[in-house]
Amino acid sequence: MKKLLLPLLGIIPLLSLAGGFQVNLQGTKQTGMGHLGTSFHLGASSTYFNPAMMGLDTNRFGIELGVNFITSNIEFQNSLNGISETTENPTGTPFYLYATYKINDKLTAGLGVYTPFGSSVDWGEDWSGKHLIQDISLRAIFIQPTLSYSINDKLSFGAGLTIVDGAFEINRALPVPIGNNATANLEGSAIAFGFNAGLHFQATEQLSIGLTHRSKVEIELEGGDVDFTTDAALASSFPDGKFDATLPLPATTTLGIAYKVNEKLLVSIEGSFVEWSAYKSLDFDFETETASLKDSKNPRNYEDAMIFRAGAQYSYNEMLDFRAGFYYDQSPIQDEYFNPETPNSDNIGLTAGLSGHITERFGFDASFLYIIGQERDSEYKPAGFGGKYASRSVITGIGFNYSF
Amino acid sequence: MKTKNLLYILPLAALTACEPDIDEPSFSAGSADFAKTVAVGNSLTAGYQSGALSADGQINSLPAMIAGQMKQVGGGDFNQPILTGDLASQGAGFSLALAGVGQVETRLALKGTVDCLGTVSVGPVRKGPNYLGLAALAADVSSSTYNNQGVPGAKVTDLDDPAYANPYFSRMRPLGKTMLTLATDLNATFFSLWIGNNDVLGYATTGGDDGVTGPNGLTDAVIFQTKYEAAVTALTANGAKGVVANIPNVTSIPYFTTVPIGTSITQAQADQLNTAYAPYNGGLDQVAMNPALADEAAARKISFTAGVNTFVVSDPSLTDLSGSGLPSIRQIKAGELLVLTTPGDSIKCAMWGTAKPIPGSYHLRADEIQKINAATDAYNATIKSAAQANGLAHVDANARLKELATTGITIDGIAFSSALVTGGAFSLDGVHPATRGYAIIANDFISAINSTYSASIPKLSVGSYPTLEVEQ
Repeated sequence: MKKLLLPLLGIIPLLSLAGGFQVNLQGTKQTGMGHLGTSFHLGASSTYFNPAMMGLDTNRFGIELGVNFITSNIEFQNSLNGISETTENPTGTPFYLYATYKINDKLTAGLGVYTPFGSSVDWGEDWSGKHLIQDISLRAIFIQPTLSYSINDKLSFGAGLTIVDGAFEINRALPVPIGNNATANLEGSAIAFGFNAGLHFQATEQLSIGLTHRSKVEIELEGGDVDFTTDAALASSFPDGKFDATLPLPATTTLGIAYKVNEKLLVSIEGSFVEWSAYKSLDFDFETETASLKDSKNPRNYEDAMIFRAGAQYSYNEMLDFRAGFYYDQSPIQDEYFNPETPNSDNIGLTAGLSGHITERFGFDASFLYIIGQERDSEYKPAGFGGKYASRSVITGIGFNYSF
Repeated sequence: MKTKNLLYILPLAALTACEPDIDEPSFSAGSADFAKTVAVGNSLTAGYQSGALSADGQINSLPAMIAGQMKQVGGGDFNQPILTGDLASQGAGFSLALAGVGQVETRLALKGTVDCLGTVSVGPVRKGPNYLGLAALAADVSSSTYNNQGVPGAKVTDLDDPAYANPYFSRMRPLGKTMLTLATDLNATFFSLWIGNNDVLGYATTGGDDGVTGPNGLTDAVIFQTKYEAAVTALTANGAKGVVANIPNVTSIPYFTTVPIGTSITQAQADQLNTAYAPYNGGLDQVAMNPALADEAAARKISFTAGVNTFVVSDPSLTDLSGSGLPSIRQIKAGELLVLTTPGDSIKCAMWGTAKPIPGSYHLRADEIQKINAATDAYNATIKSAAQANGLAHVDANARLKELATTGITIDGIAFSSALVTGGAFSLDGVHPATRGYAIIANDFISAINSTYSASIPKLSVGSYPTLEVEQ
């Protein structure tokens, strides 16, 4: 099992599957029921979903790990001529790994490694929007050491530090008046920090409430590499060199409520508030400026967005759980700033999942997620480029858990 | 075993992903019919760019681009009198000066050049020497099927001239035809008419030297109106619908806005020049004794200071004071223009504009610019009212080029301006658009046609057309 998964960890070209470039696939169990898990415990993955719940596990050790396989297609129909173009996105394989250890009845320690943001969009080298974007790959791996503390039987609290390894690569055609195949390649990486905190309240035997906040993380790329390919006549105008840029990963606050209808059925709803308004502009500050190469300011002007989720889990027998869910994920992008670099419309997610408890200690999870990126007619006004966008994604997830 | 199977099956399931499916847009010709089109006009219609007609320019000519899009809504084929041989690749630029020796000019190319100071730069130069191509250019390849009847150099007054002498027209013309009768013979269902540019451009590019009567004179506004209206009447006689475009003001094209009207000098240089012009200024002081000439004498005085000064030019409109030994010279006033062909090396190395006056043929005076503006406004009023009276689509090319010259335009992520070479919209001659510039205007034609005839012709993807290239 480990042998199979380890090679996959190296390949993390994620897809934009949620508003902006958020990727909500942090637990196979949770994904199967609409990606909710803020208010009820499903295993070590609580490290991400609500660190307050880490202590709710009856076992001393808990481990969960998993991977997703993403197939995604985005279609663009140019408003000028009605010609449709589609992305050739690589298959994405975002992963997660969680471990929790109960230090005593009150205190639990946990560690999570997961990838909640990322994007990999490849429109090809010669499509009609090539001067905006040819391809982009953006990933952020979060490493999160965490502690939780049970204040009493009903109330618990948890918090963790997030250490973020962010990397970014973008290719675009350079809109110069001389030479037809000029391109710019920008690449950089940075380490950044943030935190994840949660509260969990078991109101009654049936009803539980969870509240989490994941902080904003500013990925500050310093000394990224920019590489221009131009006609020789322009080479001195576009010198290769370094650049700085800042990419904000927005704060997310989630409130969830779960209700145990009976011993077999659990239902839950959640609402998340994602502070995308932090993403105002993607600016490239070039170390060497020339008359032709000025710092590049690209307004994004994202707006805060909401995600609504609903899901249910049915325990068929001691061996098998079934799950289903739904979510509505609002796009943070305004119509006049809709850029093919992160072409996210309002998404509807339909999910299903199951878990098999093979032994008392070992189990597997599987999830299936179908995302409908609703058609929208938008333009990136600063570049005078627009049309209709729509997307479909199919994501299958597989996870394993072990506890003792 | 069970888990292993799942690992293989689940990714396979992902491959069956549904594709997004945006409805195909529906395009229509609306109330127009593009089965047979004819494009009447001048160099802008013929596909002229970078100082010559060439096969590449013709293939991407404005009406050919538009016709390509019309094909998607039932438009017919679009035949053009495509050049062949050297004319096709070298380009064929006609100039009166070379007509006598049977030569044509090659097109302009972007090449590395060395100026008189030894500075190397990339700029527009002729691709090669003039060559004996006039006979081939004027050779009769007439056919009754040319949809592109753009004739480089044509004025409104040439449209009904049976004796119109022009090698580009000679190629296409069966004997005895005029531009108009050749066009109406096609019995087109839709026409485009973009003409009148040369009625003002020739005057402007030669510094206004020809006044209103010479071959490069300004066409009288009343004559323009008569000829233009007659042309529209002839083209619509069979019930054809059409599109007309107005005349961009020449002061928004790089031919007139690229060469600066002054230069920066040092205090020492200024002192030297002021000493040199002291006798001229002293002579003007004498002339100023005559009250009738006092104002002009004051305005003609030449003075230099450290920093930027406007150039000295010859101005034949000044009072002739050669009797007093005073040349007709003065400094350029703000708002006046120098044409693109003003020899840069003469300014840099032969003291043109400072110690020596720049000849008036390179200079557009304020009064000449005013005449150009007045003529352009009058022509454009005629074009607009002819369009309205006949229910034709009207393209405001003047507004579009003014936008390019002032704010610039960003399309498909590319910023266009009217700057020569770097602006991306104009070809190397500073008058005619480059291929992408033609595509921008073609989209304006399509917009006008779409809104007038409730049509929905798809537009061109401007960024997919080629840029200028540096040649060896």
